Amino acid sequence: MQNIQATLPKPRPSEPEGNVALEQGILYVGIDLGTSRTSVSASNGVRESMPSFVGYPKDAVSRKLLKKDVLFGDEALEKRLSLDLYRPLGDGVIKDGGGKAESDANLRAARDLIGEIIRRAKPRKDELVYAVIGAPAQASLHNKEAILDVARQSVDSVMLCSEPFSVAYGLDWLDEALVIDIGAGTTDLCRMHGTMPEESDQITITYAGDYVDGQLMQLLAQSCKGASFSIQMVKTLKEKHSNVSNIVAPILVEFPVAGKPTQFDITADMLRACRAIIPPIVEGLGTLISTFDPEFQHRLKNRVLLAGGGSQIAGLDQAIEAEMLVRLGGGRVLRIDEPVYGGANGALKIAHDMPAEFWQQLK
Amino acid sequence: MSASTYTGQASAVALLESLPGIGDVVWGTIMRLASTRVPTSVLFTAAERGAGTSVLAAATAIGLAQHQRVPVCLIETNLRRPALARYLGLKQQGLSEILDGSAELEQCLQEVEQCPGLCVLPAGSARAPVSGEFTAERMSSILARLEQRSHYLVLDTAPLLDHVESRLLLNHADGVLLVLRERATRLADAERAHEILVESGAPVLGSIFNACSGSARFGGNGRVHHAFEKDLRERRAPASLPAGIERNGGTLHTNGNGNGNGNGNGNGNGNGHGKGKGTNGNGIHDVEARLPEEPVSEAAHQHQIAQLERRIAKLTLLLEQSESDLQQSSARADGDPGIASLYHGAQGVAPGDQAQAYKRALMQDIFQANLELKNAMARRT
Repeated sequence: MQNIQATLPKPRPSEPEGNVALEQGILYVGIDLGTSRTSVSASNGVRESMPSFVGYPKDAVSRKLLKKDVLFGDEALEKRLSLDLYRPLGDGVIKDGGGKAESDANLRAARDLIGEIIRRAKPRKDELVYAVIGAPAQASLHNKEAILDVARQSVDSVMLCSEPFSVAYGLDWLDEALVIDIGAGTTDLCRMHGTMPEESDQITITYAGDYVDGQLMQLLAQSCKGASFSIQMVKTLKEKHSNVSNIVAPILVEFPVAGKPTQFDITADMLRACRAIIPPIVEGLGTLISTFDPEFQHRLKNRVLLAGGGSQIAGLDQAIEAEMLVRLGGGRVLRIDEPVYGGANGALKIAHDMPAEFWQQLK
Repeated sequence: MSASTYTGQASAVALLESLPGIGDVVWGTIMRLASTRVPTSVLFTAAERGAGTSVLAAATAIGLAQHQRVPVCLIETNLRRPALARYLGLKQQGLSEILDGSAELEQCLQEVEQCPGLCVLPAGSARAPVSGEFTAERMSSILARLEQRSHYLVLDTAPLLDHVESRLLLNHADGVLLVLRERATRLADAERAHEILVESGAPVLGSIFNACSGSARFGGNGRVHHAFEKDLRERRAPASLPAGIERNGGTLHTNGNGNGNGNGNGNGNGNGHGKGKGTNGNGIHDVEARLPEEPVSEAAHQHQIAQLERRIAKLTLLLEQSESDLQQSSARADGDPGIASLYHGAQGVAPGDQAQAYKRALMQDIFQANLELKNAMARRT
């Protein structure tokens, strides 16, 4: 596999901000604010990723037991029975449905989530924190404003950037390339052709990680008669066994049936659920390729970058290539080395390369 | 400690923060001082009342807190004419009540909500100070406690010539700034105030010429300002300043028409030149320059030795307390100081990057999109 990683340049004397050279410690932070996971890469070398869950104790008893006012990530999931649990980002953006109370609760959870991920980046108190946050390519204006609004409460200056663009920027794949960024809520497809991608260069579809979970849940409900399982259990199984290869070892799992652990073979269901996202992804690629300059379409097809947490499905790159061969006459797909941090690394590189005066103006 | 809320506080803080000249000259002078000693006590005083000492002290404190992000404590010691509480929309209770024993420091110290990091101790209820109040153990204890929690201590004091209590505070200052006001401060008063400072052995950082319009300077006789400047230049600075204080802080001059020059070096010789920004209304004009030292009297020498010994005692105490704090912090899980960034200063696209121009254009596009978002949000609110 080709080694595709983002790196940051060595430090050099500061760039002047207007007439004044800024010589203060600056922590650049790149954040991939995902529906399923939120990741951060920072210019102090810290990299962190956590499930995008925020939990608040349900009552005074829970609070006393947990000894915390808010829990995040894995800890929140583990203790979810004592918590009002929020996954504040739906389809990669802050959830805004279900009435004002729920909308406010999601905003609060999103604010706490961003605050926590910044805290995990370990900024020093005497440093300025400049952040670039990757947002879904086609997030609405309202959602972008909501993300900016909550982020401003945790950092000194913040910018939003299209997620697939930040992945491509981090790897210097800025010309004649297609990026597939598979998240939990959405899959972003983006065409890079030497300029800032416009709306017509980006497609967002909802065939992503959550869709696979839903499909698998339905299939298991049909095939594992009498078994009881939750969506969280299904998600955990997917993260462990997801695969689209034709040759795969049997996936044997245990579900309780009437309280008794019972073994099931879910190999076929897993393959079927995971493969469900391939046709719509290749269809989206076809749209972006077919509307590009015909002279350069073959170059686009042969520079397809697979990124995002969903890209960790085993064999997905070859499966997409196979589907492209059938539908588009061929293509080459490369998977990035660090799917979880690809977006955050790219956002960090954008933060680094952003001129100082721009950060100042957005404070 | 209580956080204050006040509808006009935001505008007052913004106004004070943007006071012309403060950022150009005053911070620079104080920050040089702070590079050698923390916490740093800076005392603002004037020859006579109405010079604008409180405004300039507040503006400096706000600026230091906002731009250096360090804890700053602003203390108003002019008990006769309290002003800061009114300017900043704070509770009136302050130093006056602490000194007469009717309140505790923690009750009177107030945070300025619009300026994180800044704590203000207002003067409190207006009254004349009781004799000995400013030299009593209680006052020293208040200042010592405030120094423990601050990076900068900014003291706003009563006019030197009107009241004696300001002179009693000079010993607590690591640097003194004398505020003069155009057309109000008389030459003779300015000279006398300067003499008092020099004789006290206080390290004078410079003078601030407030409300400078660039023409006449002193009240009563505008023609004499050149003579005053010359006179001050010929006047002798304290012969041996405490370690760490430059004899001349490389002063900058600003005046009403935007040009000026400065005299300054680190050892009292030579001179430098600098340009200052033109100011309206509140021009900062440093007319202080120090000349080569000459022998000082035995009394002055002894005074400085005593002052240094007090400082050593204070620093020793602070060191012990800092070590204790450090031990406590390391014991606490939430005392994580963080990890320093690779970058000290802003970066931008690397000059050697082959795609530098292209990447800068991309950055411009991202910035523009975010600027439009920000403006749209601002319009909506």
